[in-house]
Amino acid sequence: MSTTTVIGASIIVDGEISGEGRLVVQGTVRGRVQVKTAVQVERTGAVDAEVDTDQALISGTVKGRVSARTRVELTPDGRMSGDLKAPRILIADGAQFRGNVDMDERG
Amino acid sequence: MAKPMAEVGTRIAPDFLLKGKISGDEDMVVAGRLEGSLELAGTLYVEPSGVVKADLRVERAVIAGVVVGNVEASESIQIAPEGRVMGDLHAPRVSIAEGARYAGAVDMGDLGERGVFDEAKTQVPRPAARVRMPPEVVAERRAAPAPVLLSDEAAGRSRPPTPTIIEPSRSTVGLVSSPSTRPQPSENDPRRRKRIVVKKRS
Repeated sequence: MSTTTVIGASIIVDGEISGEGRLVVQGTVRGRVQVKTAVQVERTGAVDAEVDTDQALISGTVKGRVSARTRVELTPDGRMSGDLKAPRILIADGAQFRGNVDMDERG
Repeated sequence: MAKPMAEVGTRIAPDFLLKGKISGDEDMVVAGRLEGSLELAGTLYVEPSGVVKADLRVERAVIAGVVVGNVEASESIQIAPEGRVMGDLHAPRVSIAEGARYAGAVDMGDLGERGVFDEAKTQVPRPAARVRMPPEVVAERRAAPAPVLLSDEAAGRSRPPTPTIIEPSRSTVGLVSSPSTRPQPSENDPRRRKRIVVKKRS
């Protein structure tokens, strides 16, 4: 059973978040994110951190390195500045991205 | 993977750890682990699976899990039966349910200023007189201000007429009165004259 942690729009986390399930960010997270299942940065979300997860869905602002074991998707509202590392990447039309992309396939 | 935004309200899931400085303007539910410090303009709910190792500054706290740290709430703190709290509580309203485990100090603010203990201050029955005092001494004692537990000026009241009430001052509560701690009468006090007979040469 997958559990979901939600960081609300007015919440500011200065530190690290780690967990097994899914993380939904509607607020601000600075530091480190290590979430096993998925990280979803919503439109109001702002993440200034190193992100390590399985699947990442970015519709907000992300600054830092995003590492996903399965895939990363930047939606039209997504704004990212930093390196992306994932075997599958989708950058939608309208998204803003600046950084390196590494799609090196690793198990 | 696009999912509709069904999640509302901040919630830390059971297998999550949030570590660091956290602040916010909304309610928060902790079912997982929170470490560091939390400042919330809202209500914090700690579920039975929640473990909080942090100092908390919130509006309201409802604790049904484990909290190790000081809790400061501007409105109320409620420890539910499953709650286990170790730390100081500062709030105008505190409730600890039966079954809860708690260790720490509770501070509900300055109760004297709110007139909470008015009854205790003015309706204490006079104890039976043990020592026979000459009438002049009794009159003198009546005129002198009695020790007060809390400043009346601070509470906005003028000094009430003072009957002779035995009130322990803050510094002597629990202490046995001994000649060195008892207030000593002044030089010209008739009581003193009784004990020391000094004949003045005119």
